[in-house]
Amino acid sequence: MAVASAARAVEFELPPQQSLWSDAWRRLRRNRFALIATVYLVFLVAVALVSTVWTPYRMSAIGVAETYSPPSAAHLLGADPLGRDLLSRLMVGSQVSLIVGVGTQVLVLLVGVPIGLLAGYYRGWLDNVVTFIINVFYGIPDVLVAMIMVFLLGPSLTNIIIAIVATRWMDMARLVRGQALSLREREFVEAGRAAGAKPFKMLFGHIMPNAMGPIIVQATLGIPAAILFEAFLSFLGVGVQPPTPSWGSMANEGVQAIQYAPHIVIAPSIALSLTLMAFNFLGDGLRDALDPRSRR
Amino acid sequence: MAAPILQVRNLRTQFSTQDGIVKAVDDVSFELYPGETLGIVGESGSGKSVTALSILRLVPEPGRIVSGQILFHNEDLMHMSDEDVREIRGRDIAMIFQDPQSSLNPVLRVGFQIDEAMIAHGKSKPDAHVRTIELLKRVRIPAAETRVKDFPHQLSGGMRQRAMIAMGLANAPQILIADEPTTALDVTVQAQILELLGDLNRELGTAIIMITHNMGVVAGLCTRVIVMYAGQIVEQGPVDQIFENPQHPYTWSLLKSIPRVDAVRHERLRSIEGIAPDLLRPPSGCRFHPRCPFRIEKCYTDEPTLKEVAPDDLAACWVTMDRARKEMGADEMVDIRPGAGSGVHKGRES
Amino acid sequence: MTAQAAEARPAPSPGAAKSLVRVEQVVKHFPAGFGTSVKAVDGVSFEIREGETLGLVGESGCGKSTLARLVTQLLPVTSGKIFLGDVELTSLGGEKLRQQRRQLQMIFQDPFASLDPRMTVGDIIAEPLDNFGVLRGRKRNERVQELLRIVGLNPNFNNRYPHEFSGGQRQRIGVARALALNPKLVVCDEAISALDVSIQAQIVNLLEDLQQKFKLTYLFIAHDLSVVRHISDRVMVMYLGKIVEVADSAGTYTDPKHPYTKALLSAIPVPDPKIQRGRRLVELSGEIPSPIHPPSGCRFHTRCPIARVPTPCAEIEPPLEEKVRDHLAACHFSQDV
Repeated sequence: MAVASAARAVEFELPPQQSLWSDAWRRLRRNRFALIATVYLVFLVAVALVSTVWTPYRMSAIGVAETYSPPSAAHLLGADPLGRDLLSRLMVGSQVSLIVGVGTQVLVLLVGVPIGLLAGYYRGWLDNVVTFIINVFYGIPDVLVAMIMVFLLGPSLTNIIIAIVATRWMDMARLVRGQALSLREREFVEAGRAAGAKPFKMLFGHIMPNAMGPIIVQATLGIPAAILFEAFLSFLGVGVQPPTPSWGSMANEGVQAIQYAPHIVIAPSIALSLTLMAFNFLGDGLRDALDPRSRR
Repeated sequence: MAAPILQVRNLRTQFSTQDGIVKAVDDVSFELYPGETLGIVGESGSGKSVTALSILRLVPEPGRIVSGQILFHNEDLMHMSDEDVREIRGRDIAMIFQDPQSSLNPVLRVGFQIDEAMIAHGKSKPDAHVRTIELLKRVRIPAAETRVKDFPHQLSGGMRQRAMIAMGLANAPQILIADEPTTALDVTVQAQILELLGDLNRELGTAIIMITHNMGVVAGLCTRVIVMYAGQIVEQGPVDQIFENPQHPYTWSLLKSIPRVDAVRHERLRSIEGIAPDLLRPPSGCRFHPRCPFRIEKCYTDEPTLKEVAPDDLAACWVTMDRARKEMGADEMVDIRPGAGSGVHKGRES
Repeated sequence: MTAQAAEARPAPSPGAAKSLVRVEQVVKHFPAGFGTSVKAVDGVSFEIREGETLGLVGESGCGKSTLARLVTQLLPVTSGKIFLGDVELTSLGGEKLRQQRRQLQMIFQDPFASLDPRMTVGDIIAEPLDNFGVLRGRKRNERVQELLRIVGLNPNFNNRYPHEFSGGQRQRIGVARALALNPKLVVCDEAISALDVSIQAQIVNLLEDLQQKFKLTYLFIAHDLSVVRHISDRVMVMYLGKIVEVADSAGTYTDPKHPYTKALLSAIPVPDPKIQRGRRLVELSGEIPSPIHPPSGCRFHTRCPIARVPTPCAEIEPPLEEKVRDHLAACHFSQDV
């Protein structure tokens, strides 16, 4: 009976389920630098959270220590030119960095991903327009424009985030566009169309999930870039306003005193460097872990 | 009978992957006689390509040959220095691959690449030039004198493969190993290339080892056949014998699962149930037993070795098709399921 | 286990069977720069009859894959019409066309690329159902499990991902997906070419069984003529964008009426050494011409062993016409083949 074979199930065992994410997690765990970086970042987030409710001293309290005083038992990192506790200000400064870093990337994802998907999947005139806009934005000197924007909008954390996103969203859009361009040629995308998928489902149900790897990596590496950008702006004086401390503005405050009170510059600089390094190592580790082709 | 020019003895090649050791070639032995055409046939994962690469010690990382002998005119390639092996490669034993697109350097002219094959083994440039054109003519590339200056992308798939063959034959090797040379080509082109190989074998006396998954190719070109499954040889013998009266159930099932263009009636294909074996954890006993319609108890536990089961026909099987026909009604079976023919034959020694 | 009565495949007689798909003078040109174009499909007309398996063979560059995508409207035609029943597919767009996809499903060639690696098997199979809002919740899951069972897979594997399966199993998943909506036509675009030989037979048998059980109609595209002959009722042979022969599968192979078909048949190696040794290869001269500049007159004349040039073969394109009952060929000299 010919139909018998159709009804007869081919019984077989599959090995225990191993999802793609757990495979990536396994690979990430083996990357020592990425692990150390993650530990550091977890610590940093903890510090930031704690500092919202408690710091050794109030970060704006002037004169709790002798101005420019070096690290001591009472003030572990010393004091700044106004006699404020450096450690407390450093802790609060971590909030700024993290908010800017993560906040900008969230917005970049919301803006850049859909634009990139539309341009890469539909191509044609839409892609031409988007590419043109992206290239125009790339032509803009980002620091200058960001400075002008903050100047016009008024210096606040929100406006800084907007300015950074406005000048750096193109990296994500370009990446996603490239991913969409190559993914749209894959057979499962064609199969999705044949199965009657609507355009929205094609973009967000098929293309985007398969581009998540590079997107995550790009966002992770975008965080330190944003943090650095903000630090730079603050260093130039167009960042967050006093008394809110940003690592960049703290470094600015300490630059004149660098010869006799170097700790004022060094402390925020080291914090900044460590944080940037950590995000970069994590981003690199994620890239290796999520790349299905790298087999080690 | 002349002495074999190539003897492979107990070859074992393994790959160390992050999931474990893959035994790609597991105790393979065979011989190649001068001027003959030997076919090594098997599906993906059978180990046929790795066997070919092992002969020339070209196994890529993370693979390596762990044991065995490869005797070329009684000299063991395994014990030779890298330099000596390089001498033999391309001069005495040549190899051509499946995809001529990626085997030929796209930025170098075709003639140049064939010249290089000869210059590397001591020929002078002007001599090489002349011979290259001769070779291109011999592989039936029209307008050879102008084609010599072409780049690979200017040639069609079939012509690229002919150029590869020319490169392989440049130094008049005694053995030409062809690893799926026609799989990527159209059927009409494939037929021409196979005819060319057959003619070259007759005219030049070059022995050919033909690696393929296509039984039709083997039937047309080869005089002897080796059938591989899961890294081992399951059957070997003269081509007529293997096709007419295969003794190993895998060979038999494989032949029955191929639709034939000259079939007179529409007969349902008898498929081999199950999936390809996992080379990391191969099945116990006979590696084919999970899919074999004629298995008996012994097949689960004892690994069979190659034995002569019919004149000139070696097979690694406890049952063999002769017995399967007599006792299990092999020829009448319609749907071939694992174990379909066995059951009442427990414990019988073959 | 009695011997199955081996019978000739009964070809549906013309006229008696309804026409499910009609393709009329379909042309597809791809722009190739500098004003030229690749004439992938250049004036093709045929019909697919209800309940049959129509095989489509040809070598690379003949346009069969393009034709498959035109029939399923994954590619728009440059000109020409395609009818599914009474509906003119080529006149539809957007949502109306999408609705028609319920009847036209496709099984793709590459089992490793045709399934979205980020979706579970269950979601992949149910995607057609989800896209048209046909079944939801428990009924949807039941249908998925039913489909898995139908194609011979364990129904509990709907939560697994494609990469956990072998090539043959993935192809079964592709078949299950194609059947989800009970389509009228299933286009198999080289559906078994990427599989191992022993697995190919499994899928071929599966397709045949499903066709019998669910009364499906197949357009089966492949370059392997042995398989096409086995599974098809009728066979079309394509060369350089045009159909050169259409006949029932027995007739194509025993009595080809086009020299290309004959050459193709002679080139297929038969797994029987005695027979293979006795066969003679029909040599085709030259190479396949570029589809950007197809030859004048009969496209095959540059390589044809019986072409008479310049008249008529290089000047007049032979029409695809009936040479004997239900056996069409496009050749001026069919009688000499």
